[in-house]
Amino acid sequence: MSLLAVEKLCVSIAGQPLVHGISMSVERGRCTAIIGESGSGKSLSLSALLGLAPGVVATAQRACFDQRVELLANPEARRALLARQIGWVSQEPMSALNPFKTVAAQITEAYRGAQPPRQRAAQLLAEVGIRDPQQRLDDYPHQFSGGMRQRVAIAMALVNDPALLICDEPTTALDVTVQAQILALLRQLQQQRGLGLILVSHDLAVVAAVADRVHVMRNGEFVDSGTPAQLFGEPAHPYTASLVAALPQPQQRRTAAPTPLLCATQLQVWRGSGRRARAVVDGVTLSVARGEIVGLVGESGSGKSTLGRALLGLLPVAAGTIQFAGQRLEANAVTAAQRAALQLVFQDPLASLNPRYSVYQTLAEPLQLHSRQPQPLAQQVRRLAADVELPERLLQRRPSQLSGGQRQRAAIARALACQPQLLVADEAVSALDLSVQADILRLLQKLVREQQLAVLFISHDLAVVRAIADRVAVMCDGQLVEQGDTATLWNAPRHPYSQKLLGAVLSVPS
Amino acid sequence: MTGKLATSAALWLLATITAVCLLAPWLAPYDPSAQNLLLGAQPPSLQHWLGTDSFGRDLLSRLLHGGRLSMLIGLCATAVALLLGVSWGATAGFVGGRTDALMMRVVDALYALPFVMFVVLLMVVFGRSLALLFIAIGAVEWLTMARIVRAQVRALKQSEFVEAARCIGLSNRQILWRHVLPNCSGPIIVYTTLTIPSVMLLEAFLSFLGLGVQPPQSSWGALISQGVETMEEYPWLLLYPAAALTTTLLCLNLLGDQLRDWLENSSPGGAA
Repeated sequence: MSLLAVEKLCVSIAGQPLVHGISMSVERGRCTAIIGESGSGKSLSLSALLGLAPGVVATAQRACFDQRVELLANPEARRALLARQIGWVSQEPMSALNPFKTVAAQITEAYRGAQPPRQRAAQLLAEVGIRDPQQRLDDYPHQFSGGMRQRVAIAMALVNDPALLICDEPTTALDVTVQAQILALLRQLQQQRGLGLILVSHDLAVVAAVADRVHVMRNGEFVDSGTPAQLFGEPAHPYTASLVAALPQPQQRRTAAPTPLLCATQLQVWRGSGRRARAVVDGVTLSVARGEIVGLVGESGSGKSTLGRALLGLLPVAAGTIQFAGQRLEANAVTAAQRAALQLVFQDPLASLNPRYSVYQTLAEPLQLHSRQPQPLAQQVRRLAADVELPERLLQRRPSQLSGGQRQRAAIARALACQPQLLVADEAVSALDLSVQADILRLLQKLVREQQLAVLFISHDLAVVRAIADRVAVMCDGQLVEQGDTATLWNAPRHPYSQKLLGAVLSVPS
Repeated sequence: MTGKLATSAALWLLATITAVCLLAPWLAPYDPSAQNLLLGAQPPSLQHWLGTDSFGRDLLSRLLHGGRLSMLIGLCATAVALLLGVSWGATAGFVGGRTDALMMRVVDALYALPFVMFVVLLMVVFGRSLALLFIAIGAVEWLTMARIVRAQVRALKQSEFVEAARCIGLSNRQILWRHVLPNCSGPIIVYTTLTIPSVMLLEAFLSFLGLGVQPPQSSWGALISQGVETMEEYPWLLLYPAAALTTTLLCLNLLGDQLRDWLENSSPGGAA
């Protein structure tokens, strides 16, 4: 018996159709997943179905909950259902909770049952795996970590014992180990309570781990449907096949130069001032050679980004030394040549490009500063754009007029304009869609091969690091707990933290 | 829709008033300071559209010439405020640390100073002059500008594209000029358009108190001040200058507001 049956759902905003007739169903105790890239209409379809998106027009041949209530025809009944029968968990656990209310107050705000509210809240917190629930009832959201907040948000959705739980990218903002815990929790709830689950995600591995049935969405349509094993094992539709092909695949090893280009010894970096100062990077020894990609993995807050910036001479180090190309590198005395040779690529390409500069201006600026080539500037800019496979017609555009992938290409081109020897890529592909991510990774590998760059690739996405890095360093609480050859480390992690981290990685069945 | 209509009406009205005032020497029907004691104060008539004051001077001519001066003061004092406020705020925000704290405490101290006292003091010490008026008004108006710019610069300084600019080896001066300041141009432009009317109002206020423009020159504020003295006998002497000032200020404020809305919606990360 299907809990939710939707047939030919169409959604439009301001007369423009964005979702074109999708059909899906969810049974009790089962999980249906929608997967697709950003802008494909995944979240929009569900929020339109539930009337959560303002200014959106949704129509459907049938949108029936529990074979009784027509969702679209009956907004009042739908609202009553939202309070009692349907739970919603959104992507950002930070912004989904009200910072001014205690978690107990938030969880039981919509509670309709007979139990005392505090008792109910404590019971739910225990169910979603928060330790000492009685003590944490009066805590505010900021006193919880990201994963814990997502658990609170799930508890909030479960307060009235809903029959259906809708999770919109529930683990995207979380670290891998936390992601594994949240997914285990969802699976457990689904089995124990007989919950119907709708999961929206862009991550194939997450979907493969949880879903019973998967719909692949593209440009407002379901292009492919099936069980995860069918879909990802032997993809029938070309788009599904391209998604699977875009998954990071381990590459053949490169041969790195024998002497390291950059060598950091017993590095210590402090952040904050006065009494709040603490060592964010503590005793790190790391080297990178020309023509190799070194992956740096760890959870958020482990000090990866700080280490990356310190290695570029952007942050002063408290102790230890950095040798770059045989010379000492000091943050307060970086020479012009060193500055040009050490470049950074950021996670969010939109934030890292001046919104008022066209791509041409962005690329011309470092060239004017560092280039000693005789060709005219315009020609150098065009060659640079060609190097990162950025079409010439985009040169006059501003960052806001480019797609995510194009922006990141522009950002990489800006770094290349300085003719760097070492590139630190700080989560450089984390904000990008899967297929775009694959393109950028290919580009980075090409650059390493052709220009003999040394790359420090910082990422929380272990699958990506495994695919691209020659060596991997694992960081935890400011220290490197283990480093080594990628394949060796993957197959036999020695340090308990590496084991835990790698154990949490999900993979797509093939 | 009504907002759009109001904006274009304000724009046209302001353009007309400005043009008419700028062309005062050619458009004004009489010499603004030519007295005709025999005529005395006359209500509006065909010869004198807005009437005459008690010295028989044509009010329309005085209004046009006075508007010229009011606008001149508005623009010049705003330019002073802009120059001082942007450079002070940008320096404090960009350098940060102790310099920032010190520079902003100076701003706080000046904020705390009673404005009228400050101007009276200036006039007493240096005598009354038009240049001093510009400086006095500009010196008060730059404070808010400095605070706005400092806040913007501090926020932009943390942004990734500024870090990227540092990474490619630009100097601090280059970063400030090319990457930081252009990105706070939105709030600066908006606040400037809102400063012009507030400066004109200050000038009117000072002239009303007798501290501003001195006879035989006149500004709208001075005209209003004179009009108030004979308000009961010759109401038109107060009414027309007051209407001119109010209309102009209203138009400028409306345009400033509209400009802010427009910039906030159109520039990504530009305006706050």
